[in-house]
This record gives sequence, C-alpha cells and structure tokens, in this order.
Amino acid sequence: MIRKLLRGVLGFLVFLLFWYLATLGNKLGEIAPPYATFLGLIQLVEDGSLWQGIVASVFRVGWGFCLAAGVGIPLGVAYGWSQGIRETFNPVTQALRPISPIAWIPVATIGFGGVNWFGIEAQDYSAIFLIFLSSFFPIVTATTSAVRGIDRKYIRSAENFGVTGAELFRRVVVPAALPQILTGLRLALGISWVVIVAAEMLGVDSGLGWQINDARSNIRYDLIQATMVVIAVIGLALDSAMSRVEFAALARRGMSVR
Amino acid sequence: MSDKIVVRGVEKVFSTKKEDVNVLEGVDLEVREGEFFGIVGPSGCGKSTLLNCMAGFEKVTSGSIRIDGTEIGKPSPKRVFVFQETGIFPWFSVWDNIGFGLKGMSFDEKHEVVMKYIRLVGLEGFEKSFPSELSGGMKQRVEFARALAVDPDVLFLDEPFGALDALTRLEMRHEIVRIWQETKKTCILVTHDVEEALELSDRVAVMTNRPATIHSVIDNPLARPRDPDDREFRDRKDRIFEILGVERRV
Repeated sequence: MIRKLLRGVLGFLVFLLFWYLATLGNKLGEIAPPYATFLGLIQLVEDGSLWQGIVASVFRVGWGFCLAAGVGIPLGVAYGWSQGIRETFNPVTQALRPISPIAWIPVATIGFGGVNWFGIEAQDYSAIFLIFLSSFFPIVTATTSAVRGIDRKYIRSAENFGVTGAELFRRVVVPAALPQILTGLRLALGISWVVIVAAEMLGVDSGLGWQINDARSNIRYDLIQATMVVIAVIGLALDSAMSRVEFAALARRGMSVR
Repeated sequence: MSDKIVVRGVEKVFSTKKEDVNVLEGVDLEVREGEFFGIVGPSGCGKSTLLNCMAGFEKVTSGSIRIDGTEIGKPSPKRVFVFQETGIFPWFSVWDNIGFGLKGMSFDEKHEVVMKYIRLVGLEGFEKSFPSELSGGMKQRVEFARALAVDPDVLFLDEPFGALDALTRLEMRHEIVRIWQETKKTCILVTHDVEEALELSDRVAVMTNRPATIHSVIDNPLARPRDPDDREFRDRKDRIFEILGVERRV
C-alpha cells in the first residue's frame, strides 16, 4: 500500500521534473514552469475567479449529466427490451452519436438564444444541452447492451414465478443490467467533464473553459495552466466519487465491480 | 398412479436462415403423479428442448403436451424449472431469492414459508448471504428452496448438478432424493449422466440422436438408497449405454 503510494508520488515528481526542464528560463507570456503555475493558482484562488469558474462548470455538468441519465436509462431499457422500439429508433440514435458535441455549439447557441427561464441564462442552457448530448449517447448505448445481454434464465425464472410487467423490470431487468449501466454512467461523466471545457470556449462568459480562453487573450499562460491543474483534480474527484457510488450500489446488492 | 403429464407426437422445428432443424420428432411419453422421471441422452439430442416445451418456455411445432388433462400454455408457478447453472438472482439475498415467487402474503407469512424451506434445504444462518458468498452446492440448494417455496406440482430439473464438482454433485443427489421423498413432487430430470439418472429416477427415458425421439423407457424400481455397484443397477446402466451406442468400458 505504502509502496504503491510512493510509486505514484514518484511518477508525479518525474512529470514535474520534465515540465521544469522543458520550461527552464521561460518568462511571463511563455509556457509557464511549475512554480509560476502554482503562483497563478494562488492568484486565481485569491481573486475568487477560480471558485466561480468551478461552480459554473460543475453546475452545467451536473444538470446535463443528470438529465442524460434520466432520459438515457429508460430509453436504453426500452431499446434493449423491445426489438420493435430498438429497430425503429436505434439507427437514428447511432447516426447522431458520432457528431461531436462541439459541432452542436452553434446550433445550441442559436437554439437557446436569449432564453432566461427560471433566472438561468441562455449560455447555461446551451452548455447543459451540450453536456446532455455528450452523456446521453454513452448512457443509452451501455444500457441497451446491458439489457439485451441479460441472461435468459433470469427472465425465464421471473416468468416462471409469474413476475411480469413493472415488477419484472424493478426486480429483475434493472438489477441484472445495473453493473453495465453504472459503467456507462461513469464513462459518460468522464466524457462530460472533457467536453464542458471545450463547450465553454465559445459563447459563454463563465466556467473553467472560459477562464482558459480569457487567460489566453491576456497571454497569461500561468493562469491557463493553473486552470488545467484544477480541471485535472476535479476530473479525478468526479471519477472517484462515481466509482464509489458504483461500488456501493453493487455491494448493497451482493455484487462486486468486475 | 395416474398420469400427470402426457406428451403425444411432439415435434419441434427450429428455423434458422439456412435450414429447418428438426430437434424433436414424434416424442411420446407419460409421467406419473409423484414420480421421479429421468430423461437421458447424448448432448444436443434435444432433451433440454423437450423440457423447455413441457415447462411452456418453448412452443411445440406439432403434437400436444397435457398436464392434468389440459394443454400447457404459459409457464406457471405450478411447474417450476430448475436451471442448469443456477438461475437464482445474484442481486438478492438468500431470503429474497427464496421469497421471490411468494405473492399476496404479509411479511410474517412470507417469512414463515421462506424459513421453512431454508430449513428444508439446510441453509439456516445464511438467510442474509448473497449468492456470491455461497458455494456452488449451496446456490443449488437456494434454487431448490426457491422452487419449492411456491408449492409447485412439478419440478423440471435441467442438468441441475452440471456445474458442480463431483463430490458436491454426489451430495446434492442425496439431497434431492431426500427432498423429493419429503415433498412428493413430480420431478422430471434431464441429464446426460446415465448413473445420475439411474440413482434418482423411478423410470428412465432414453433419448437418441437423429431422429430425436424416445427410444425406450426403462423401469427402475430399485430400493433407495441405491448402490451403483449393485448388479441390477449395472445391468440397467449397460442397457442404456447399449441403446446409446457407447462402449462404457474404457
């Protein structure tokens, strides 16, 4: 355990060393060395812009991801369960999937142009929509294959004991598909966090992505890199939170993560 | 004893893209009330398909299967299927698995039934365990308890010990005989293990490959517990191997 931790720390130190050597002697306005990046981070914390950026980005990812799960899981269950529904709507779903959420930015911007529902601005709706798209496809695809892959003997057992309809879904279909659905959710959250930064580079004036773009206009590479470090840390935190949820949800049902 | 299940002229054809595969061709048999009926045959001869048809999971192409005089329709809790590798739900505890088919009961009534069958299969103390914490034999016991808890007339056993190691399999054979003697359910066992069929069954139907049909039904009224080294036992075993066209001495 200690050895594993030490090795991880060593990896980071090697990375910092290369970063330091590659940026040796750089001045402000050029790619910043580690220490300058650290100072930039302090500045962002002190003037409060870091916290604002984090709140804006996490807010958008949170809503986009939750909406995608709310729509994607039921839809994936329907696709997986009914051949008719799957054959009708899955081709169009799969055709939309390879379109990068970034390509949707102009559409989202014009689509939500000027709205201000519940005191939330258009730029938030458009970013939430983009995160919805980036989460939705992995979730619906994972859920579809999870439900299609359920061992037939479980469905037959349920049928044998006269368990049908909503009860069949609640007691058999969803728990059987759960491990793979959770994997899909974790994947989707990771993608969302990658996409939010790109999505915030156009048409918004808040969030971590915007902050990078803003620092770039001011030629402050120290602030850009400080923001990148923050993105990495939050990304790790989201992933480990999701993996804890995954572990707990499965352990409660006597299953373990594969 | 009266006939519980009557199978007449059953044919089953699976249509694939290339061709139609005749899995069953004119199967006739009768299973009596309360008897332990074995079906043996080589792998892939259609014995599992026959069992699936009897349980209502598959529809016959032609012919009829009647239980208590009525043509079988959908699967029903009156006739419970025990799967090859256990069909118990890994996401439910032992208690929840055994209570799975119990409906319209208060918690106390349900608890009473579940505990009765937990005791019957000897799993006291494991109510809260999940299947992943149990051995193969214990999982199989949970599956038997789950099947028996809904008080069915008929148990369909599809290679129920196939996934177990040799020692556990032997132990589970003793268990199933004891449970059958205590509950007197009609049991239909499908297996490719001739010795297993003879140890357990009152009668053994021998199925042959192509055409997949019942070659003969062998009476097996030996007293229990049965000894595979007994002469009468061995004679029957030899006869079945002869029908199947297999040389049993290696």
